[in-house]
Amino acid sequence: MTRWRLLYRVGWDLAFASHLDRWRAISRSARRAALPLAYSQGFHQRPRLAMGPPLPVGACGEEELADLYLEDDSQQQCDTVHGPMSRAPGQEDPSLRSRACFGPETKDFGLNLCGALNNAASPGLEVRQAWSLPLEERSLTACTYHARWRMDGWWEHTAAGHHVDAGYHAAAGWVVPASEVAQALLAAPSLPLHRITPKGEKDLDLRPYLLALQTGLESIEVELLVTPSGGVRWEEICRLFQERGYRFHLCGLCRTSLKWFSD
Amino acid sequence: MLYQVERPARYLGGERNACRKEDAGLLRVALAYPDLYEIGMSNLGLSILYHLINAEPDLSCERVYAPALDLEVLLRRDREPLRTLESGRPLGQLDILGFSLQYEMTYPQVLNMLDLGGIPLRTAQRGPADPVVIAGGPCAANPEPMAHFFDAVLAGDGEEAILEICRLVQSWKREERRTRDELLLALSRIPGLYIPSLYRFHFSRDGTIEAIEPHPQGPMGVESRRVKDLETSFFPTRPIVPTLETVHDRAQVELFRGCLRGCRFCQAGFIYRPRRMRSAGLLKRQAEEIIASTGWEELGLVSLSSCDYPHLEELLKSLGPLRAEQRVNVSLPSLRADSFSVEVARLAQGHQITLTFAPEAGSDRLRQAIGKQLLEEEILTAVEQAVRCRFPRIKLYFMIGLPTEREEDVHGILALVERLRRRAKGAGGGVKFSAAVSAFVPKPQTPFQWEPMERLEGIRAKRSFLRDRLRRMGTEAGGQQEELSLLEGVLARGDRRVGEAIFFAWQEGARLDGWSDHFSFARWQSALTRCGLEPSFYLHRTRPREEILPWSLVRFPAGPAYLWRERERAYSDPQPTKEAKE
Repeated sequence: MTRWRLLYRVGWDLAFASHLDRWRAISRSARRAALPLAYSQGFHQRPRLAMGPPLPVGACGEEELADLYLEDDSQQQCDTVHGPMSRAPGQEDPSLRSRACFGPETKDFGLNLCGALNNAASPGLEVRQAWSLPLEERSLTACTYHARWRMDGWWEHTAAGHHVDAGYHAAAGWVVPASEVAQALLAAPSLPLHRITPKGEKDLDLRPYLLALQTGLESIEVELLVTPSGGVRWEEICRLFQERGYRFHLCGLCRTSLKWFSD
Repeated sequence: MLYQVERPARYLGGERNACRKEDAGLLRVALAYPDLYEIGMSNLGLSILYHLINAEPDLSCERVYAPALDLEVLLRRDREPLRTLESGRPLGQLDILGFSLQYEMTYPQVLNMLDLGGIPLRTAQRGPADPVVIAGGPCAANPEPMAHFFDAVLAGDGEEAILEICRLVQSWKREERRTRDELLLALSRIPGLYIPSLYRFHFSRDGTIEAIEPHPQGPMGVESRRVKDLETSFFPTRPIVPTLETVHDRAQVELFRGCLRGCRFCQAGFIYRPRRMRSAGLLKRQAEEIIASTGWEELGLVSLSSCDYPHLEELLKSLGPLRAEQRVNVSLPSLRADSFSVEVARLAQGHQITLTFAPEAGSDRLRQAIGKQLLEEEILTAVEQAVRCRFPRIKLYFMIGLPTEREEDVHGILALVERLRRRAKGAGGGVKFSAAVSAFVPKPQTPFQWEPMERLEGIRAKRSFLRDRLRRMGTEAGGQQEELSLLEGVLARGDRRVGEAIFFAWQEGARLDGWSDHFSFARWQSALTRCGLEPSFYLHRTRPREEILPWSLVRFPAGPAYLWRERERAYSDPQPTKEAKE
């Protein structure tokens, strides 16, 4: 068995799918690509595919991670099934939307794997890189430690009771909205939060998770610590602003990068 | 808006194998399913029609499903129309909107979708710029309750007529001066297409239909359409792979259409006659192509009674490589409670862990009366075999209030379950039983279409008794809510006056009523009262043979004379027809 790490992009078509739906989309793409997948054992045999930190429903992802396991003879089988990857993207399948996938003929299996997957991918999924790694390397959940987010939307100054007009702000040369709040949040020693989920309630401090925070006229950019037990949610960042007089109305959400340790 | 609703992927489209045509000048068709995406995406009929229409270069077919309540609130608040998944076009801008009617309780949702889409609800209110609103599916067996809302209703197999309908609307659109009435009249010349507005129903003082007056230039009723040769008929091998998990998230091949069994309560068994089959070779090719184009992990071999497919073993063997190499699980959704079915299920066994059998009644006598050709010993043997094959769960379906039912038949359900449990224990045990007990709802176009339905008190008493006893025996007991069954009965055999009640119920908030958590019986009672309709008129009287039935203008292969003979046999000669079994 071989282990392949996939770096992939989640576009709009898959942004509103759940984590499990995205798992299904990747595993079905791999099945359509006729890759020699390794399967779990037992009654319900499933492709061995481990996903990185879950992307919330509604979020796009620029550099998402997943580990796909293939059978030992995967290199040979893939070459047999797909032949040299020299055709234009989407040539085999007229219903495919255009997407950057693979380059000229190559013997590099990583590229070959990307091409095969992209050719069969669900809309909204684009595999950008694939590389092999030792089977014993730590799991994605254990080695991912950093995420960068971008939230697009518009500000409402709840204390002043009006919308923050981004165009007007820019023309007037004013400071970006809520920037003082962002600075204050970063300067705070702790940011207590009461989290309510269907599973229960708990109190936590958001401050250790908050690595960087910047507001724009129509955006928030934030860098967050990711731990195996979870991290901070985008709603909670918005809540911090709302509690301090700025309501952010979200229109688009994207995890722009993930960082991970390598053994 | 999408950030504020549950499961937003329902409304986005963009799935693998979905078709999106952008060219101008195309005839814009949308297929609508009046239930949530997860339910509608599992419908094979819509998938066939969707790809059949899209295979034509000058036609475009899109999809639209019922919005959940959270999205509806937002659409109404923001005055946004309901749109198709593929192009985001408001429904009012389509040329044809075709509804699939699988279940009567979805009728209010049809009105809701029309309203949200900006389409006048009633056919009489629509103008030349509005879409032609058509419907098909099993509920076309009685199109009358929705007569005011549909321009046309197709009886029978949709793929036989859908392109004819599209072409006719296309040519009508090109000739701008023609009126909508002319279009409807032209549509009435397409065989199988029932145009409700071309008929006037006259009711007598006792509420029954006195006469039906057709349009002078229109036909007197329609004959249902049927695909003659399933082997050469269109079947999509690149179906849409849903983004989110649906109720049947799997590839499907259709073994055959129609059924030989002739169970007298089963509408599908009568309206899809005669049985037409596909060859094992064709099914294997289709299965391979579908799996290759979708990546699905499960393949459903679907039909009304899959074990009646004569080449089933051959097909299962030929699917061996697909199952072994691509780890595709094969499932057989409609099994009979006999040992052959269990054996086949074992052969096919993928991750199918529940075997579902439908003994329907508690005694051999009643099963014979309703045409269910199944003896108790066969059920016992099947269960014994299922236990030996290590199926951990067995689900049983029963009906109460069946014609000719006696008290001992109801007690017979308990006795049967007890015997099954004992037999299972003797065979090794380790199996969990559950039973669904629901009221029998007489359906149009069946031998029991003249029969009364049991009254609410009776159904309640029997269900409560059975559920209580079954639970005490350690068997999970469920089934359809009594009031829901009653209402289904009104809508199933209603006439066009019932349409007003559907309208009022929708106005009062009836949505997704097939889901018991959304259903309000009081709302429907109030709607029926407001129209001056008495549910018992539709439910609890035996209709005489000579009565003009609301669905009498829609004719299926099993005509009224045959159905009446079958009904008589249920009372006089309920012996199972062994020869039909062979």
